Amino acid sequence: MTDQEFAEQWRAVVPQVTRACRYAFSDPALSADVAQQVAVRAWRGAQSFRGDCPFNLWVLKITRNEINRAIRRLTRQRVRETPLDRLPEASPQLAAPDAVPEPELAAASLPRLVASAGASGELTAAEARCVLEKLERPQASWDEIGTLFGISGAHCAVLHCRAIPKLRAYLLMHHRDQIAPGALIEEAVRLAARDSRQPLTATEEATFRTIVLERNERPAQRRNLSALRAACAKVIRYLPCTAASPSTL
Amino acid sequence: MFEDRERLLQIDLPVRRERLQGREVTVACVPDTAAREVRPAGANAFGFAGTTGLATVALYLGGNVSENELVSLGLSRGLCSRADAGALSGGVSQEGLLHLLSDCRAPARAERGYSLEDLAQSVESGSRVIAFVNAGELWDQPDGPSLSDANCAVVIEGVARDAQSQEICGFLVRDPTAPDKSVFVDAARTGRMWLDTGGWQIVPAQPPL
Repeated sequence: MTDQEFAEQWRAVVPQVTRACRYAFSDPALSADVAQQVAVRAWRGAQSFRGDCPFNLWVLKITRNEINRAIRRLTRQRVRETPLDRLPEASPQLAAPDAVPEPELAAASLPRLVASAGASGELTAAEARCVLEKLERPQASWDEIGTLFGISGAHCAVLHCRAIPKLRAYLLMHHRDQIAPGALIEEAVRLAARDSRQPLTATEEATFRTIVLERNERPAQRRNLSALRAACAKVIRYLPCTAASPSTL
Repeated sequence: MFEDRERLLQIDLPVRRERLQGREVTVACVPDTAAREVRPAGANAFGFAGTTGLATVALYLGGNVSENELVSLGLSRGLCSRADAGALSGGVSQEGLLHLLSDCRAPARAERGYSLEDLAQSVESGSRVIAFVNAGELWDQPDGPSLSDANCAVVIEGVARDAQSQEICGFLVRDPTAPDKSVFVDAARTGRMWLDTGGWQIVPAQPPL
C-alpha cells in the first residue's frame, strides 16, 4: 500500500475511529491519544497489510485493541495511584503508601446522588435517610441508626437492603458517566455474562443494554425493573472504579 | 500526522535496547515466568510425537502445566488425536487448543491478523501469543511437506523494533522443538511463515492487568 493510498483510506475511516474512541472515553484528551496510537499502528502496519480484509475493518480491529489496552492502563493507574489532589495538603505523608484502591464515587458525590435518588422518587424517604446515615457513619450498628429514626435496627437493615438495588440501578441509569466510561461498562457486562457463579441471564443483559448502555427508557422497557436491578448488581462488581462504592453503602 | 515514522508507541512491557543483526533495536519482551524446566515437544509418557501444539500451549502457560498433563487432559476430553503410530498421535486442532486453554483457566480466543503490526500489538499488550506458522519456513527447510499452510504453533513473546524508526524488525519466537530460549525471526520471514499462511493467532481473552 502506497502512502497516497493509505492517506486516502485513512481519511475515510478516521471518523469511525474518532467516534469509537469518543464513545469509549469521556476524557477527550485520552480519546485523542488513543486515536493517535491507532493512527501510528495503522500507518506502520500498512506496510505489511495484504488487503485480506477491508481496510476499515482492519483499522477498527486495531482501534478496539488499543481501547482495551488504554482501559487496562487506566484500571492499573486507578489501583496503584492516588491523585495528589485527593490528599490533604497538611498531611503529605499520606502520599507514601501505595496500592490502596480509591473509591472514586463514594466519598464526595455519593451522598448527593443518594439524596437526588430520594428526591426523584427512586428511593423512599426512609430508604434514602437510612442509606445516607449509613454512609455518614459506616461503623454504626443498625440499632444505633434505627434509634435515630424511631424504628428497630432490623427494620432499618431491611430498608437499606431494599434501597441498594434501586440505588445501583438509579446510578447506572442516570449517572452512568460518573461511574465509568461506556467501554468499561461494556467490558463489565461481557465479564458479568461470563461469570462462573452468577452469570447475567439473556434477559438481564438485554435489559441492561437497552436501558443503561443505549439509554432507552421507554415505559415498556422500564417494566422489567427486577431484571435491570439484578443485572446492575452483577455488572457493578466488574467496574473497578465503583467496586468500593457499594461496599460503603 | 503521517509525515514521519518517529512517533513512539505505547507499550505495556519492559523494553530493552539491543543490537540485533547490526541494527540498534528496542525489544519488548514478556518476562519469563517459567515455573518448571521446559522440555522439547514429544516429552510425554504416552510416546506421542505429534505434540508440538500441546508443547506450545505448555510454553504459552509459562511452564505451569506440562506437556504430559496436557496430553492426558486432551485425551480425556477427546481433543487429542490418537493413531496406532505414536509419531502420528498428539495433534490438537486450533479449536481443541482453545478448549484446553479454557480448561487450564487461561481463556483465550483465536483471531486473524492482517499485518505484522497486529501480531506486535497483541504481544505489546503484555501477554504471550500463540501464532500458527509454516514450520518449513520457520526452520528454513524448503523441502518440508508444505510451504503454504500453517502447520505448526509457536509462542511469540517479544517484538523487536528499530530504535529510531520503530519499524518492526522481527519477533522473538519460542519454538516448542527447541524451547530453551527464544530465537529472533526477522520481519520478512515472519511475514512469510505467519501472514502468508493465514495470520492466525491465539490471544488471551483477558490480557493481564
